[in-house]
Amino acid sequence: MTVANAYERTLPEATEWVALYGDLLYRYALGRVADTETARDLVQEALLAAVRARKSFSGHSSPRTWFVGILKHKIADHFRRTGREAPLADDGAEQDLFDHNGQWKNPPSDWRTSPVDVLGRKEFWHHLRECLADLPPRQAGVFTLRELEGMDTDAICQAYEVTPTNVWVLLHRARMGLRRCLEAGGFGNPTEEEMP
Amino acid sequence: MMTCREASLLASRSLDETLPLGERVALKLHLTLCRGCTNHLKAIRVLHNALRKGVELWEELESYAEASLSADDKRALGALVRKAAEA
Repeated sequence: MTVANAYERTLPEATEWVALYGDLLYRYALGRVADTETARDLVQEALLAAVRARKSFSGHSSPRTWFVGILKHKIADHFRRTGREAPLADDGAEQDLFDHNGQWKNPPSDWRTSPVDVLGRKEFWHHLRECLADLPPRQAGVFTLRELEGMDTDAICQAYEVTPTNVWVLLHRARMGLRRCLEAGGFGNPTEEEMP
Repeated sequence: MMTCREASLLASRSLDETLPLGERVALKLHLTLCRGCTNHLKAIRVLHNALRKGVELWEELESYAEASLSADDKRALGALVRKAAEA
């Protein structure tokens, strides 16, 4: 069996792809969609797309990077599909957060310490991933594209076929939800009465 | 004076792009008077910066993760790919 090598510039035979890159792609997908069945489907879509595109593999990047690039497209497609299913509307969360004058019902507390410092990096990431999985799919999707994939608003608008305003609102809601989720998990030193 | 509902949305947007002058000034004014919104912006900025720096760690965690495709999944995927490649 061929050993997967990040510096190798030729594409292995398709029959070896699953053994070489299957788990890598699966973990990558799982880190972004947090659902094993969806992650597996995305790996399958990416591998089949790779079969169709294999003649165009240029060797400018490693096969590993090439496969991950294809998977990223499939993940963006997935978020676009799930986004379409749920029209952007007032999700009701705003009513819980603000009174009728638009003022905070429970003003956010001061994160005196960075959550990363408090609980150690690994714990922070594990917790963040759980919080991300609890967000509505489209919020999580847009947040992931923006903060983990580093896409800018314009690129997200294209991927999702939504207006910049909707992207800002989705990112805003995602950040609001994550802050509250992290505080509920003990990050950022919120005081008792500010816990949700 | 803008409301906290409006200010928190602008605060989030300020992490994604340079706000137009009018919005930037209005947000700044609101923040000087509002501790809650200041705290909110501080928290989401911490999150934003942590992710910026932490993407590699996030991916590292994934590679450490135990998660892998089951043997059945691998067989099924392998068969699909082989079939597609032969077609």
